[in-house]
Amino acid sequence: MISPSKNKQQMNKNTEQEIINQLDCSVDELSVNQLNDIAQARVAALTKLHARNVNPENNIKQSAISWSEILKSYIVERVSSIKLALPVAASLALVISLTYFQAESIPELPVAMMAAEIPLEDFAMLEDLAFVTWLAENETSIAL
Amino acid sequence: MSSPLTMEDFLIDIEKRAYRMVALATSSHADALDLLQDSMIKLVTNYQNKPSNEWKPLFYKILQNRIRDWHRQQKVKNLLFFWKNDEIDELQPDDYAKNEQRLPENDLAKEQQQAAALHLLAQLSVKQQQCFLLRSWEGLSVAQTAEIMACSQGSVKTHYFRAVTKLRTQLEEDHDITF
Repeated sequence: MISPSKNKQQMNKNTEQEIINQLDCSVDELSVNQLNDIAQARVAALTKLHARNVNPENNIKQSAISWSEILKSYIVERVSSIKLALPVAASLALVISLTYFQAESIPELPVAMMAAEIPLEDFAMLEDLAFVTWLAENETSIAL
Repeated sequence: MSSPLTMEDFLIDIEKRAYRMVALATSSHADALDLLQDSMIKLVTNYQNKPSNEWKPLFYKILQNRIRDWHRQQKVKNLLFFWKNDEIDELQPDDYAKNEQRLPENDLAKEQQQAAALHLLAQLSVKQQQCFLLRSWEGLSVAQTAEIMACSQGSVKTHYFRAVTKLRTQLEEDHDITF
């Protein structure tokens, strides 16, 4: 008599075999489109292999080229960043200098200079005004 | 199976089964092809100088890594775009039974059984599914499968046992098949 565990093992083996058979069948019965797609994938991979085999020097020189390329790309990157940074810095400097000069460009006028430049006619008019005011004050005091 | 001599022979020998494995893992024909092609290119460009008997485990390791990456990407994609409904060319259970070169002697019951078996495989968790395929279909050892799947040998045994048990139970329940 077969033990239950052995029986289970046998059943599992049968299941496994059945599934494998179905998988094999499904692979054999793949559609033409699927087969073509798979073949294309393989051809793409093999093309890379052939390209490598045709130019094996490419693989050897890979490291040397990569160093020079890294250096070149670094320089190019730096130059491009300088190209961009220069105009930005120049425009910033221009804006700052303009705002600075605008603030300082209107100095306060000295009082002495203001007095010196007052025309004499104005002074004469002020004197007349003061005389007229004095006369008016006198008249009001006499009337009182 | 004797060791293939050239890379081309090796790829021809392995490509259909590899495609089926990725198609089961991704449920998408286009994604399966992408992953297959990527894996082939990586094998060809990086490991062509390795002995041909090492190609198979190497290829499947690359393929499993690609499948894992694909699932991670899908997870992130689903999280980021949770409101979007992915319209991928998902393989339906009926697609497994599609065959343009049907033979007259293939009866309907057999065809349905095949579709059902593949559908059940697709329903397994990716780890159980891939473990089953690598161990049973590709005939790789526990150690090789563990190396390919980047897990312990104990995990491989557990995944494999659970996969077989689930398949047997499901086949018995759904299709009244007893082994």
